[in-house]
Amino acid sequence: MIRLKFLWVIAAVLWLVFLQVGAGPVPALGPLFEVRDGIWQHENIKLQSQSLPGLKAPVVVTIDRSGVPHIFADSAADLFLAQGFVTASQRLFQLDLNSRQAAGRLTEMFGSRALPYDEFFTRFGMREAARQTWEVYSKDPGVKIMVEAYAAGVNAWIDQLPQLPPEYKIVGLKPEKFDPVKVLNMGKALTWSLSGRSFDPQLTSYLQKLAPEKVLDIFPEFVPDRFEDFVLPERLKQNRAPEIPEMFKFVSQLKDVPRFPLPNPGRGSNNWAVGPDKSTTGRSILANDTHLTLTLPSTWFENQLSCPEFNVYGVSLAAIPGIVNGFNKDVAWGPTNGTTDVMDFFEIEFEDETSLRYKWNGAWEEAKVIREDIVLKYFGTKRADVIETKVGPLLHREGELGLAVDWTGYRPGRELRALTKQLTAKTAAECMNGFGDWLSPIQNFVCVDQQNIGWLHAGFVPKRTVGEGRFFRDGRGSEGRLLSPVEKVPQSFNPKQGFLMSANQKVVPPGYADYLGWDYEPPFRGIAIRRRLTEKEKLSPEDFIEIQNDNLDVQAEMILPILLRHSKGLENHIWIDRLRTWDFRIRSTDPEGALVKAWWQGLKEEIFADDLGVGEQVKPLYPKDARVIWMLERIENNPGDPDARWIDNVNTPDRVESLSEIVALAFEKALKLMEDDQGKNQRLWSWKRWNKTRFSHAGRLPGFGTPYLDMDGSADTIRGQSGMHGAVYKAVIATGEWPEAWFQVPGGNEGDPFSTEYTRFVDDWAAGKMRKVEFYRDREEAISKAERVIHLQPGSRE
Amino acid sequence: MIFFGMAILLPTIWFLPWWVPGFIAGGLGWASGSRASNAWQLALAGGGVAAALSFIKDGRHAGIISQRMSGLFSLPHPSLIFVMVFLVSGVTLFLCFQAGASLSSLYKPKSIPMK
Repeated sequence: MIRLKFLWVIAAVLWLVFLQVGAGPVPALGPLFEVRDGIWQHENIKLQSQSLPGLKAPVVVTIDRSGVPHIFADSAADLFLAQGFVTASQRLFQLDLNSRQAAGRLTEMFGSRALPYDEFFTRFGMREAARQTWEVYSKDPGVKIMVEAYAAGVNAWIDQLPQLPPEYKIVGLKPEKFDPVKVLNMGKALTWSLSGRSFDPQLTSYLQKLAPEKVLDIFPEFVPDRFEDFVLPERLKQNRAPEIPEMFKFVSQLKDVPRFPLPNPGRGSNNWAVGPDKSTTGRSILANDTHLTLTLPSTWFENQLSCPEFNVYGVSLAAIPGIVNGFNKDVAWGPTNGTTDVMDFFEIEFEDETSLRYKWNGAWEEAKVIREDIVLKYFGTKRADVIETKVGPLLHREGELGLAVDWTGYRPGRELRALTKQLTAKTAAECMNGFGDWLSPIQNFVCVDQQNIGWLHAGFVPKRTVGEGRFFRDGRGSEGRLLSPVEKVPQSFNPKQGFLMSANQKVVPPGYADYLGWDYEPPFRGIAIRRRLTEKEKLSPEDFIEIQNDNLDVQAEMILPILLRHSKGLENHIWIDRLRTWDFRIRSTDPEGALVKAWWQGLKEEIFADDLGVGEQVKPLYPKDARVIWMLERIENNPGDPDARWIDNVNTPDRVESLSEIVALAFEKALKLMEDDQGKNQRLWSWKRWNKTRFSHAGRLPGFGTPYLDMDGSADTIRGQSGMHGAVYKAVIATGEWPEAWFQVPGGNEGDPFSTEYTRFVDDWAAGKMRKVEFYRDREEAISKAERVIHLQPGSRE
Repeated sequence: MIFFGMAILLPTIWFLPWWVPGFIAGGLGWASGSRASNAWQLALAGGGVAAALSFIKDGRHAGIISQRMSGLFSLPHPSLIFVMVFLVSGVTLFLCFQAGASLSSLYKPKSIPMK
C-alpha cells in the first residue's frame, strides 16, 4: 500500500518534469500551454516610433499598403542598422533559424532529430567557412560596416523584445544575439542550398558496377542540340579535347558511402530581358522569378533602402543586409541558379585504419583537426570535429579510405561586396562588372539599364579537365583550383537577337574553352521561354507577366507523342484517348499532366532499374530526360540501334523486351501510382492532388504552413513549381526615366504565424497575380503615400 | 470541490506560472486526505478553467492560434487543442492532488486511539 502511494508521487514528479522539458518531438507543454505567458499570450507587434541605439541621425521608415518598409537614412551605416532592426521586428525567429542551420546548430532548437543534419554541416566545415569569410569581409570597410550595422540592428530589436515570437515558445529557447558570423551563416546556408547539388555518389556507385563506356553512354555530357537548350546557343570554337572513357580509369573503392543531406535538385529559376529594340516601351525590361523552397515566412524580405549614396528597391534574404535582387533608378538585376557543378569528392588514403595521416603526392600528411561541439537540446554536447585535408573536409571514412569534399562555397567569397556594387550601379555593364567579385553559388545574373542588357554566369568553377568531377576522384595528390571569374566566365552583352534568358539549363554548347561540368536542370523551361520571346516582335511588361504564368509543359510536349506511338495494345484505353487530345498545359484541375509524369517516371524505371541495380541505391539517379528522349527516337528509327540494349531487361535472360512492352508496363505502373496517390475514383484525379503545392513553415513546424493550393504549372513549365518548390519571388521591372515594377512575394513580409498577414499574397500568387510596387524618389514622397510612418531616433534605449 | 477548485484555480491559472496550480492541488490533496473523488473533481475544474481561458485568449486572434497549434500536434480539428489543454491541466492537477494525498497519509501525524 505504501509502495502504491509512492507511485503517485513518482508519477506526479515525472509528469511535471515532462511538462517542463518535453520529450522527443513533444515540446514542453507546461510553459507552452501556460495561460499567462504561454502560446495563448500573444500580440501582433507593429513597429512603433522609438529610439534606436547606434543611430547617428534620425531614420524614417514608411510602411506601404502592401506592408513593405521603405527605409530612409542619412548614411549607409544607419540604413543597414535600421534594416536589421526592421527585419528582426518581423522575422526574428527566421533570422535565428537561418543562421543556426548552416552552423549545424538546429539540435539546440529541435532536439535529436536534427542531430544528423548538424553533424553533417559541422563536419563539412560550415562554421569555419563563415568564420573565414568574416576574416575577409572584416578587411573590407564598406562590407564590414554593412554587416556590423545590420547585426547591431537585430540585437537592438532583441534588447527591447516586446514578446517572444511563438516559435521560440514551442522550441523552448530564447533569441540569441547576432554577430557578423551569424549574419554570414545565412549566406552559407543559401549557397549550400543552391550549389550543394551533386550526383557524384550515385554515378560512382554505377561506375563500380558498369564499365565507364556504359555509364558515359547514359549520362553523357551532351546530346544532340535538338534535345537541348543553351543559355548562349552560339557555337564556340572547338578547342578542347573530347571526353573519352579511358579518363575514368580511377574507380573509388569506397562502398558504404552514406546518403549525405545534399539539397534536392529542382531549385531553379527563370530570368530574361529584352533590349529597347524588342520592347514596346523602347527601353529594356527584365523578368525574374527565383524558385526556392515554399516557406512561410518567405525566404525573401521586400524593402526599399535609401540613403544619400543610393536608392534601391528589391528583396533581401532574411539575415543578410542589402538587396539581393531588385533595381535602382538606373539598373535592374536578377539571378537564376547557375547550377554548374562546383562540388568534387576525393577518395583519401590514410596510413592505417585509425591514423589521420593521409597520402599526398607520395608522402604522408597530417590532417588538421578543428574542434567543434554540437550543443544538445537538453543536456551536454557532442563532438563533431572538422578533419581538414588538402582537398577539403573529410565526410566519410571506411578503414584506411576516406571521402573528402572540395566545394567552392566553402571558400571565403566576396558576394556581399558584389551586391553592394549593384546598389550604386549606373549601367548594365557596371552591374555585370560588379559581379566579378562573385564566387559562389554560381548565378546567371541578368543586368539591364534603359538601353542595354547583359548576362553573366557569375562565380568560380573548379579547374578541371573534360569529364572530371562526375565521379569520386583520386585524392592522393590532385588539388582543385578555381577559374578566374572575370575573363573566363560565359557572358553576353546586347546580343543580336535582342533578348537574353536563362532557366538553369546548360550554359554553353560543346566547345567552350573551359569545362563547366555536365549536370544542369532539364532544358524545357528554357525552350518554352525562348519560344515565347521569339514569337512576338516586341514585348511589353504585361506580356512578361503573362509569360511568367505560362503553363505549357515542354517536357510533356516532347515525350507524350513518343509514348503514344508506342502504346500498342492500349489504343482503346480511355486515358490514352484523353491524352491524345491534351494540349500539354498543366492545369490544376486536370489529371493529364500527372499521368504523363507518372508514365515517364515509370518508363525510366522500367528501362534502367535493372541495368543500374537501382534497387540497391538509397536515392536512385536515372538518365536525364534529353538522353532518354534521344534514345527512344533512335530506337524508333532503328530497332537495332545499340541503345536498344537498355530496353531489354537483364533480369529476364530468356526473352528480349520491346519498347512497346516497356511502354505498356510503365503505363500500368503509372495508373497504379495514380490510384495509390489519389484513390480509385479516377474522376477525382487532378494535377493539384498529384503535385501537392503548399507552403511549409521555415522551421518545418507542422500546422504553420498552408493547405494544398490550387495552382497551375509544373517544374517543367515557365510557371515553375514542383510541390515544395516554386517561384517565391516574381518580378517584372521596366526601366525608364523612373522604373516601374511588378512583384509577388507569397507570404509578404510578415513572419508572425499568428498574424492574419502571415499568408498574405499566397492566394494572389497561386492565381498568378502580380502587384505594382511603390518605389519612391525620396522620403517626402514615401511619407505622403504611407499607411504608417515610423520615426527611429538616435539615442539609448529607454 | 468542483466550484471550490474553480474559484481557486481561475485566478491562479490566469496570473501565475503553469506549475503553481499543480502545487496548489498537491496542497489540497495533503489537506483533504486521499479521497479520489476530490482529485477527479479538482482535475475537471482545473482542466475546464485552463481550456476556457485558452479559448478566450485564442478568440482575440480570431482562432488562428488554435488553428496553428492543432496543426502542430496533428489534431484533426482546431477545437481539439482545447481538449488537449484540458487533459494536460487535468492530469497535472489529478496527479499532484493524489501525490499530496499520498504524502499526507504517509507523513501526516495521526491521532492514536486511546486504550
